[in-house]
Amino acid sequence: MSTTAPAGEDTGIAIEGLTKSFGTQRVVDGLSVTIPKGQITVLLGPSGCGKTTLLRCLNGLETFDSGRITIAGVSIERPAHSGRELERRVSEVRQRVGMVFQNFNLFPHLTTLENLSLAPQLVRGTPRERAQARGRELLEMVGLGDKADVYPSFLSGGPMQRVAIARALAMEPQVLLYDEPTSALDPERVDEVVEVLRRLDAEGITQIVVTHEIAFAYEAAEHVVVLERGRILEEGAPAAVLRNPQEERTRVFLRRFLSTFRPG
Amino acid sequence: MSQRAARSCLAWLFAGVLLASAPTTADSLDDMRRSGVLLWGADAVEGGAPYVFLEDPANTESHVGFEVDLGNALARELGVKLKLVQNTWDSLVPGLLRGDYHIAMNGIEITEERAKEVNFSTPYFVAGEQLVVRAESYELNTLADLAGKKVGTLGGSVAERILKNTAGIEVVSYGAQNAPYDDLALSRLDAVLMDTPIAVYFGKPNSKLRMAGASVGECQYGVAIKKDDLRLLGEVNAALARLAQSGELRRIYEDWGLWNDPTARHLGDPRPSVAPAPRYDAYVKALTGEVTFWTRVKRYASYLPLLLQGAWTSLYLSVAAMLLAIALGVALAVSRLYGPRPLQLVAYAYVELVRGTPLLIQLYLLYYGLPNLGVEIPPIAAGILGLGLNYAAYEAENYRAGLQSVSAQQMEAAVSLGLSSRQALRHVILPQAVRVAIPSVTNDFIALLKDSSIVSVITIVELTNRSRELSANTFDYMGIGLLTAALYFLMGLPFASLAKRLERRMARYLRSAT
Ligand SMILES: Nc1ncnc2c1ncn2[C@@H]1O[C@H](COP(=O)(O)OP(=O)(O)OP(=O)(O)O)[C@@H](O)[C@H]1O
Ligand SMILES: [Mg+2]
Repeated sequence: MSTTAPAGEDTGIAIEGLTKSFGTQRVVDGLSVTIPKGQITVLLGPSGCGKTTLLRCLNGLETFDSGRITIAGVSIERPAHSGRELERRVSEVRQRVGMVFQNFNLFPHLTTLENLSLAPQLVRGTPRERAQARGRELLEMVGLGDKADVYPSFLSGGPMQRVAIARALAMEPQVLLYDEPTSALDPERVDEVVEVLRRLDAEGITQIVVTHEIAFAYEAAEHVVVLERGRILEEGAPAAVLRNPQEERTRVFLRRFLSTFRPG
Repeated sequence: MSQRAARSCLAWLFAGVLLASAPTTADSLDDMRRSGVLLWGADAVEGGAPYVFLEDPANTESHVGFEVDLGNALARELGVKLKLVQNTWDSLVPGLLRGDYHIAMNGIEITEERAKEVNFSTPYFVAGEQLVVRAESYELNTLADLAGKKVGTLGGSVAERILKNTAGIEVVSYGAQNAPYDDLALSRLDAVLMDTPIAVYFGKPNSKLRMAGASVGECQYGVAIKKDDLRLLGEVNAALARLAQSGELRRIYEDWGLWNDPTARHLGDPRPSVAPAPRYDAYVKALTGEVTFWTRVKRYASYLPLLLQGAWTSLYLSVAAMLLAIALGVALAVSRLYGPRPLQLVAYAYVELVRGTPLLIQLYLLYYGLPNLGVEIPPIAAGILGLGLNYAAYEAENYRAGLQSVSAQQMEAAVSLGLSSRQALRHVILPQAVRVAIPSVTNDFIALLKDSSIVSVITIVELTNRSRELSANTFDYMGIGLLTAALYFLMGLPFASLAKRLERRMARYLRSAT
């Protein structure tokens, strides 16, 4: 396992020359970027620019065509890695990288606590009592300590997404990926989810958030990456990128949000 | 006396195709001598009077009939005991070729097609075809009078062929021998043409009907014996000759009121019959006797144990078959959705093949076909296997629909937590799919319970078969039919309510369920 850096020597996420096509359409186009460790990085960009695809490549839900991703100490290189070798590496990545979906994707047939304790038991072999105790701690942490025995369909969107985050946290990930975590929520429910992200930032987890919430990017992110047609358009500190973009096209993209958000 | 035309054709065809090249099994004569028992295949369930039927419908061992007397006489001549092996009439020859019994004798007409598959003894009885009309139909006396009339008969019989070759007759073919006479009495038919023994036992006792004119045509009943059992054939022919010689054959036929001109000519014994026919008289007396309400109730009570026995067979056969179908169905559905490509194709082919062919053919293949390849399966196991393998294809489709109803996003959520796809399937997808599939599985089980009656073609006597036997021997189609329907309904009931409870329990995680 020489290609796998020892745990602890986590150096953030390095993406080099990443390419992914669906048929003839090149969705990610030779993209290279470094995501800083232990920070919140916001991924912005117009619809269809490849944000979701990039995120899915990061935890192996999509197999990319060429390039290299180093994440949570595991590196995957394509097309060099394929077949069983690729599978092995992807499975290692998935154990260290959590994913939070727009539609929550909680397991409806399990209680919230069971949603949290399932993966640790199956993947890590954690004894049931320990997994459930940890699950209760995490539910407490996201403010749902009293909902342990409730089935997800009895919760509303905000709490559901908090359970989904807690479920990902139960696997003790080094990286959390979010794909528009608040866009399925009522506006007044957004803050409670954002609050959880802030709290995790304080604990030093690397978080990548695809979002259209410029306000969130401005206030909570430490790093902003703007994508366009599968390439990096611009990146940097939020204040710089959002208030004073270098690229004309970033300006055009941001202008659409100006009616609802004025930086500074 | 052929019955149930469509199935009959199929079965005979099958026997021909599959078993023409059957491997030589043990020599039946040796087998008979070793065991001291002559195994005789016949259909006492629907064979009916006067061939083989039950004297007491509530006692399944009370076989009587002119063929029982003949069989006993034959066995005595051969120095052994007679034992009847029940099989449906259509399956008598396949069962013979499979080695389930040594001889088949049940009003089987000697025809060219059948003679290709089995050897026939010299004819033991020659029947004519007897026209029966309503008592007041004075003008109808010969085939020539039937132009433009509706005439009933048995499908696939010699009588049917005669009717179809007579211009202007509208032929109505039946599967059971009493039904045409009932319809004739109800004026749904103008006449019935069938083998003399049937006419004598089903037409003549009915005061609303009369036998019209002398019998026409001729059909010969023979004892069917496997092609390679030439020694047994010789012994049976010799025994028949001795029975004819000693007058025993004539005595049997006279007893049953069946002595007729064609048989007399065939046996070279032209003396007219003046002997009484005690067995026939007893039959008519039982048939036309007064039935009070209480005797009827007592009768049903005496039939109940038989029906319950049949119901039990139906039930455990169906439960075992369903368990097999569920297990195999899950494997097929999962293979088809998540397996490697070759496995997907195998599962696909299995489902399509099984759903695209009749269950009856599958059972025939399993029970009568496999012995060709040296695989012999006992009846109950073949029944469970046949029904189970068949229903597995339908279950697989249920589960596939259930699995597909669980969104692909559930699988992605599970694997991104680090679960293997196998774990995701087992712990996330299947539990949700099962809930979706439960209602159709219940429906399938109840359908299977009713379909299970098809195993009667491989010698199993279950509820439907018992019911047919009882009603054929008592002519009480209404009462026994209702009793049987009630039993099926009661058997399915607990499963339907169990499934409802299970479904509700499993849906407790859905908001809409509370
Ligand atoms: N599985 C797929 N098969 C084919 N095309 C796909 C697939 N997934 C995404 N695409 C295409 O790739 C392009 C990028 O899609 P992606 O979902 O990554 O964009 P996005 O930036 O997340 O957009 P949005 O802001 O609307 O979510 C789109 O044109 C989309 O239609
Ligand atoms: Mg997207």
